[in-house]
Amino acid sequence: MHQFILRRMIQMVFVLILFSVIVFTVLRLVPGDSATAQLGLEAGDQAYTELRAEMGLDQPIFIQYLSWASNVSQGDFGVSWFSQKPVISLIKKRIPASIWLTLSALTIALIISIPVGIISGIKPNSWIAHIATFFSLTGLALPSFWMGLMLILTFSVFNRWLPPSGYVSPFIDPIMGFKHLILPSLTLGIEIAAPLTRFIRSGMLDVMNSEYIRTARAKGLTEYLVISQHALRNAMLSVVTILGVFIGYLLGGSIITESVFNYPGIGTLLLQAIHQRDYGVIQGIILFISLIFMFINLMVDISYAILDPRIRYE
Amino acid sequence: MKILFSRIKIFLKAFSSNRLAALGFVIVIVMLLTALLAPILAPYPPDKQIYQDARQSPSVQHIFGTDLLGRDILSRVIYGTRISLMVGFLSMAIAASFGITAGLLAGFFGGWTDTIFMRAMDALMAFPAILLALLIMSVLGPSLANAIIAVGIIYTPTFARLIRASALSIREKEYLEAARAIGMPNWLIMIKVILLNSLSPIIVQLSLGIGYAILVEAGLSFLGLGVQPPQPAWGSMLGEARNMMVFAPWMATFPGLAIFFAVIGFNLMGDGLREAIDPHRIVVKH
Amino acid sequence: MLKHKKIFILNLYIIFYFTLIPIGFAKSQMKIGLSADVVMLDPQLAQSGPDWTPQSLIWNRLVEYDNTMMDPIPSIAKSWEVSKDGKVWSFKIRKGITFHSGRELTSSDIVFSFKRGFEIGPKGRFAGYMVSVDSYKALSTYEFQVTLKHVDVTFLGNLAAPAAAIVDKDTIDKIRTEPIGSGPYEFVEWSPGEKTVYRKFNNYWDKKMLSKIPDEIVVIPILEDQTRLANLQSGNVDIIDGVEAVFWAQIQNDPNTTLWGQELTASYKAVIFNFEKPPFKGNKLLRQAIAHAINKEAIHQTVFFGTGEVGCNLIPKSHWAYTEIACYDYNPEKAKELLKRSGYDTSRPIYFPTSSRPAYMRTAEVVQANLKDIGLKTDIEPQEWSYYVQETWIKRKFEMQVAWYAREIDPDGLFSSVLRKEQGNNPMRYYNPAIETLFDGGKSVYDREIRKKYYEAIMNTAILDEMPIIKIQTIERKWASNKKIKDFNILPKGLPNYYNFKWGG
Repeated sequence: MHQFILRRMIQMVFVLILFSVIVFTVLRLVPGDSATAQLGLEAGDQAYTELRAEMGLDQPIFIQYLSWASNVSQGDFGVSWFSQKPVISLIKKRIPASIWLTLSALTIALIISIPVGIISGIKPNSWIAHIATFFSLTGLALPSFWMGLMLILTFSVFNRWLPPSGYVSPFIDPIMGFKHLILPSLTLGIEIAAPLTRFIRSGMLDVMNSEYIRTARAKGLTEYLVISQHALRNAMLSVVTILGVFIGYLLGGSIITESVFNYPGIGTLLLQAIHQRDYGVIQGIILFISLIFMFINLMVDISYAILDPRIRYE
Repeated sequence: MKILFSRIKIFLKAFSSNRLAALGFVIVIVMLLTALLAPILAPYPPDKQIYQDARQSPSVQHIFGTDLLGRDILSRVIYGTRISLMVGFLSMAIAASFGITAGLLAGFFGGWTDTIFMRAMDALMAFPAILLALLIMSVLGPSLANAIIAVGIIYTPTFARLIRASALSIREKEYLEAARAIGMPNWLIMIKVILLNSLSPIIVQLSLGIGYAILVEAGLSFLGLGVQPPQPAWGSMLGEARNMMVFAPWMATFPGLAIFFAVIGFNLMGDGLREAIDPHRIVVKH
Repeated sequence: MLKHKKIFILNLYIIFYFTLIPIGFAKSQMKIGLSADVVMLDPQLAQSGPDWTPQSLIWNRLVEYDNTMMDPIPSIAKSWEVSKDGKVWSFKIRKGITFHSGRELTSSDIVFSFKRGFEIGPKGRFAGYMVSVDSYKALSTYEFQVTLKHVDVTFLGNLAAPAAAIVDKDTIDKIRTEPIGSGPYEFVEWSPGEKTVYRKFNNYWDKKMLSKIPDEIVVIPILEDQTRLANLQSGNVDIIDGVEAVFWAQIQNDPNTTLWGQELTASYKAVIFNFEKPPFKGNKLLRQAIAHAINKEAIHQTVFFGTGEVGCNLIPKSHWAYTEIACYDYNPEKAKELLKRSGYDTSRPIYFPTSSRPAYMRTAEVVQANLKDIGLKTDIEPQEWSYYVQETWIKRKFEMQVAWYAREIDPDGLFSSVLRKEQGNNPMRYYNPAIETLFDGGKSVYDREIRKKYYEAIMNTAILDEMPIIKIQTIERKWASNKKIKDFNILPKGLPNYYNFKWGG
């Protein structure tokens, strides 16, 4: 087991390096760089050349990468060119907001998907299952920014019940914090409810048709006991392991929702950085998200191995 | 051939017993017909601008109303079906080609090839899809073709994993020995067996993936990377309408509904297909 | 007895401190919702619209803009005089202006700022505005003198440009992170993407202004238009910028909000042609064909919701320098005829890249439809902003494109950088030595009637005849606020006059 973990970690490092090289290069190939973003339309050619030299962007990409990589290996992720603030502190500032949004969205998604998934797993062809599945698919099929804007209009403009955007830490002010979180979490949560439902449902289906359940039924237990005692527990187990994947997606992929709600999470930080071609920030965030995601993947794989004794990794 | 027919039979059975899947199938057929018959169905050319009629609410002359520049929204939604389907089908074709190839290579050779490919696929999946699309489009330039490529690349890992899982499970089986005994070359065996075995899950993923592709295109348009005018893509239409949602709700509603039904249709169909081929699905009587 | 008195006084003091002071001196805070975040805090390097806010609030200039941008108001310079030949300007510096650090501002700071601005050169805007400056020096602690190369009537007005901020030489190293200036507000913090906070500088020299402005200003970037408006309507912010025309009626009908506009606008939208290569190089007939084909009224009604003013003269109608010139009318038949005579191969689409920002895209789409009506095909390529700036604007990889100009209000500032040789706003690379002479003449005299003639001549040659640019219409910029703001002025440039607004909150 330890060997397995060690090997995976080494692989992770390789992939991260590969990834960072690709992102680094791609960024510098895309037309427009930090100098363009700073100088805007009216500066002449000479200004661009000068500024680019100041930024170190005129050097060969290879050399730029080496100097960035060596800094990173020592823990220095560089600074945002425009605000001159360290990339790490910029990311750190956004993490709490992103985590709150991720967790709330996941909670809402689970509230929807667990009942729907279980019902459609137990009675796959019933009307309830059909309607429930359809509704959960609705969340997937409605474009998230449309839903977000609709929610803002309904709850903040036509009725002043909730603030339209922004974030307040629930640790500082629980009520306001909660109010700021509801709409974006609803938007995001409804979006991922469908894939989550799908997963729970297939998990339930698998379990319901397994030998394990047949044995339980053969033992003479009532259907209710069969489901609640045995089926549910096993199905939930697999859900727990997949939660990791969804968390990874939510942390980095909530860009559209964040921008509609002007939510100061990592998504909007990245969007702004791309818009301004703030290379240091972009690279830092991508590395960060990839690291988290790969880490979560690793945890998931490990937990699979622990929970299911049939799976063994050489 | 025989296998193909039996698959089709299984699929059809899925639709007859599962009403939701049948609904999905119907929606997809309607979309295909709309796309094919667009010039006949659309009352106006999709790019005809009559500025005096701009921003009109739905009426007899313009059933879905007109947009900001005075174009008929119904016609644009109809022609937009072509673009959405094109994005969906072509991007899945790319994803499937790359993904299946990668999965085959990884599953067949195992060892280092497997590790590299799979970690690369992991890395690809680690990336938030919208971001990846954004970066790809930024390098290649915004256009329909590049959007298709971007979505294709994003969805590649799904197919890769699918094929690889199938390949891994097949690798050990006995009939490989049998086939080898007859004298068929290894790789031919592999491809044939693996592909046939995973045909059903591939089709399921294709269906789901098309729905996904349509959503991603809408998201890209929202972020400002729309298709080239005057092509009427549903996503760009939504993006155009985003400030008009209070004053001219029809501008966003109809393309939004189009996206909605398209995505639901493909997802229902895909889910239904998946159920039909699920080996665990013994008919459970209640 | 004494002891009791002391305790009594102490008690009074405590009561006063904890109750009356907070009540009497409650902090007033103004929240601004802007459509984009600050990019660069250094005023001499800043180039984008949102940077205007720190530039105005943290620093002063020798003079500041008045609401018309034509009659500068004394600021750091309390008075000035110009020599008989018009080339030597002498400024008397106000005494007692302090930087936020406490040090007094003297002419040596002005010399330093000028020097730095020129050293920064094309990377900032200062050098461009001060292009006619020959030399400058401090005559004494409170006197500053500039010698021009030739008479330049725009010089004084240009000193109010945001990039002409007078910076603090002692803290210049931290100007991008902890800026110090002499302006009405001190910099408190900038949280990128979240907010920027400014606090009133109680030692600001203009005490009258100090008493009328809020204690604190918080600027929050809210990029999504609807969300920004929602923030205003829900009371989260007090004033917002970039209000799209579609929202104007709603804001005016709401008793709790006010719409603020410009008296005159120096902003306009145009179609421009690349003169460096075919098909437009040397093909005047083709350009004129397009001029007759564009339906400006359609663009006016659909893209701009009927706001702004259609016209071909780069100078807006209500401007003193405006003259009526014979614009090209919308005439598709004539356009088709000119197209045929131009000999352009209509099977080849014209390359028409454009920024993907909505106003640009919509305009381009209408133009595309107009051109299609006369048989011309165009290839619109929507480009993300930085991509667009780099490829289409700086590298000039375009044949035709949509441009948005937001310039100064003095006619020279309005379009000299558009038509003069290799200027930043001239990606067309249009050049005509006769025009150069006319421009020089235009800014060498103060008499408005004479200047008017110069600009009329420029319009007739450049706009009507050679046509590197077809102006479509002017663009009005509006802000919206709640009732806490009693008066708010937006300069012709589209940016707010932070030195002249009334706060009642």
